[in-house]
Amino acid sequence: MSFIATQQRWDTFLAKIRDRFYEVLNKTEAALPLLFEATDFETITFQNAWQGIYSQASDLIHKIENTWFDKVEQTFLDLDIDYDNAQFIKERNKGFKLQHELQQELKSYEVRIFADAAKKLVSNAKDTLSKDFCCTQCQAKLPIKDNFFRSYYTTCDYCQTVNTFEPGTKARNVEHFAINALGEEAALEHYLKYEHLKFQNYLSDRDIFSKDELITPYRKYVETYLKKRIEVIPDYQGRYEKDLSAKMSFIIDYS
Amino acid sequence: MTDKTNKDDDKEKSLLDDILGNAISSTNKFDEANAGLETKKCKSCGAARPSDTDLQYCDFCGNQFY
Repeated sequence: MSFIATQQRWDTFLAKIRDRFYEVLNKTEAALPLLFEATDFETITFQNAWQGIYSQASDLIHKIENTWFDKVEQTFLDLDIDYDNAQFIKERNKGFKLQHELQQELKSYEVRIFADAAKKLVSNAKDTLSKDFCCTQCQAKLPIKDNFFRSYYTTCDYCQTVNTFEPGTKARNVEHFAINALGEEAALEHYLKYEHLKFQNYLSDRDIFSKDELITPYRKYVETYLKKRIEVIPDYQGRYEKDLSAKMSFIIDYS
Repeated sequence: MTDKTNKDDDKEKSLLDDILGNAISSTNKFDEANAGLETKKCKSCGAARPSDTDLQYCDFCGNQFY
């Protein structure tokens, strides 16, 4: 097979992967929000459904490098083209660049679809918490916080009875599900930038961007994520520095 | 060509249906708690727990809560 013919087959394969990838995501665009509402905001069902779709999309992305290393690379090498040949590198990078583009797209899609579901959940929880809750002993109205989603004691001003407030499963899920999705949404641009710089290093097979340069967008990502979390649940303010340091140690100590 | 497109669409739809159906059927369902208030009451005298008291003993009759 000639170089041109191999190149064309490789281009066609990449175009098909791209089309198929967007087809999978486009078809789930409407289905997942419907599922979330139909199951009355069941977060675990939503996450399980997303996991299935994510696997489909992820498998397509990995097909690019698998096909390159299993078949395409050897076909080019059989044409007496060396590993350091500019044309060979260009063809290989074509695949790696598409793989990176689709990975970034999948991450953005995941963040967006989870954030949309999270906003619906927060709205539902706030509606519930804005209702009137009365003391179990004297029926006086009790003040209930609309930005705290755990169980807590609240004392009745009239009869001094200690009431235990249970926010309910949906409100609790704001903390378990929604807060992460909203934080990821707020910080997405910094995360994508961090991944993009890492990819530039990978593509050129050397550190174009130093570890310090990688840390800058990652730090912005973590800071934005944590600040968004505080915006939704102010109680997290007290542990901001501790969480920032813990999340940064992941990249400082282990990368 | 149209047939092929229709077949692809059907296959795609079926795959998505399978994923969503599987997520619904395989997820364990747990009872959901509703938002509300409750008060710890003494089993002996029925008094509610006033503020600034602990959960060990009833403030009115001294009975042990747990």
